[in-house]
Amino acid sequence: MSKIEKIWLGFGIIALAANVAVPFILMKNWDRFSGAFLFWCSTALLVIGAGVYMMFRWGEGGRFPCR
Amino acid sequence: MPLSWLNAGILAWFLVGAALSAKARRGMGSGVIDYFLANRTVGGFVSAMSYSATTYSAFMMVGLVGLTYKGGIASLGFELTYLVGTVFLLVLFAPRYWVAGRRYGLMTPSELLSTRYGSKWVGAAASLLCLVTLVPYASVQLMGMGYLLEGVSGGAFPFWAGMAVAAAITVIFSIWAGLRSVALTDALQASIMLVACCLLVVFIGGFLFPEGWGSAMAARPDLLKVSWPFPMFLGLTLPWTFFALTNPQVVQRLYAPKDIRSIRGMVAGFSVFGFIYTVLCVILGLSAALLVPGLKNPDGAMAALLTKVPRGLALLVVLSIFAAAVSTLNSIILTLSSMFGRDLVRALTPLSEEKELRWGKLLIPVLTVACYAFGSLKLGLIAVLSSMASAGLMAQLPVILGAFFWKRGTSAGAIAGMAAGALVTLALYWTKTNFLGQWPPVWGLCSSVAAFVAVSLVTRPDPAGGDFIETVASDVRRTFWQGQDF
Repeated sequence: MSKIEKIWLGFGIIALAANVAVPFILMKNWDRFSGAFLFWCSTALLVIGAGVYMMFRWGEGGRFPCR
Repeated sequence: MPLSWLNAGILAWFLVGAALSAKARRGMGSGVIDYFLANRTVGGFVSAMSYSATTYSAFMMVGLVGLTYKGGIASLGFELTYLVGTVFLLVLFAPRYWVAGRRYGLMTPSELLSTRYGSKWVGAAASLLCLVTLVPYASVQLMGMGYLLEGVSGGAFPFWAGMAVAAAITVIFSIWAGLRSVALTDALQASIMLVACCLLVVFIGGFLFPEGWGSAMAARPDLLKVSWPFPMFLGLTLPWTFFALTNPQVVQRLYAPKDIRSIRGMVAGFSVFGFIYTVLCVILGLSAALLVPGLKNPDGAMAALLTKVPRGLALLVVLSIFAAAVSTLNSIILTLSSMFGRDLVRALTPLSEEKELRWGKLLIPVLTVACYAFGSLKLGLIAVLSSMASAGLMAQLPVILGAFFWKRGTSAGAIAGMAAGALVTLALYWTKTNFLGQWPPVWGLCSSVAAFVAVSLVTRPDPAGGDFIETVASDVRRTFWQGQDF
């Protein structure tokens, strides 16, 4: 696993854990859109954005005759 | 909605899909790789739309809307946690599956496990697990259609007929041209799903909540609270978080993109599609709770909501749900068929490629009938059934992770891990036991990890397994991160 993949692994685990824990610990009684709704949307967009950044660092190799 | 409208809409949609299928068939070769993987030549856009349509099923517009209707905003967390998990896993594992597929000529997800662990029985066990657990999940697609058509037609389109029509179309789209047909019709279906969902939300926001959707929600602030018990959230979310690795119908798609650019397009396109579609479906669930409160069956929320919108729009939405169900079902059936031929029949007896393809094609109608029969039983809430199936598949998770990262993992450990995880999950669901308050998937995963590690440590690993791990890691590094060819 490359260094950047290890960073991605750590980031992903933290994002997933936060996605589950934060709304249940901090936002349980927050009955507005600025509560869990906003949190979950923001986390998802952050991870999608970071994922797209990661993928744009991929090269263009991999040409290979199919078996 | 009049029956004639439904019949005409479904017929028109089927004809467009059939035309695409016919087009796909024209370019088809004769081998199994061509049939089940479109000869590994699928482009980025079609890959993205097909992955989206395969992943997002009738569950979204029926099950997720129902779940939101019943339990409020927590369903957004459940579904977006799945999306976050999928993006996270795809960035790490899509390159690995893709290079392994090309390097070792793999066709099914289970075949990767057989190759890595050096035993065809590992792949056979994984395929058997997938066959058993995916039948309920696939049946959910048919049930979704049955409920929806029955609901919107006021009972004129009976439950069994809705399931039968969806099943028949699935067989036709799948058997005709394999993945070429499925991917192309999926792309069409994903477009319909997104457009219909957007139009419905715009109409509801603009015409049914003229004072503004935010103000309307003030009447039900409880819906915006995280009201699910935590064990329920964890029990439903955990299996779905790892869906991208444990569900063979989506894993197999990682073998099909034609190049790295197409994989990038697939993952990025799916991520954007998934986010928009999820948020819209949750908004529809919340809207249904405001507009049609008091339903006994939450899975009927979408059908009830459609009675509030013009018939043309309602028909488009119904077709989009139909498309979502069929696109997921045909992918599952196609993948299971390929696994049956490659990992089960070929594990028992030597088989020519031609015979393997014949076995695979034979299984397409057989599996569809099995799904129809299971769906006819009308077991439980759609969301729970779907999650239960994913929970069973999660027994493969440690074995899959071990395939790429743990050289000490052995074939005996892999079989023991899958068996233990599946049996514990099934037993706990069967007896309706939430041990220590946690749902069965939690204990299923723990058992699977424990059995895999323990049995692996007391058995001898296949030396070729280490070579597999190093070869895949090296290929990923060179092709994806250094831009070299194989």
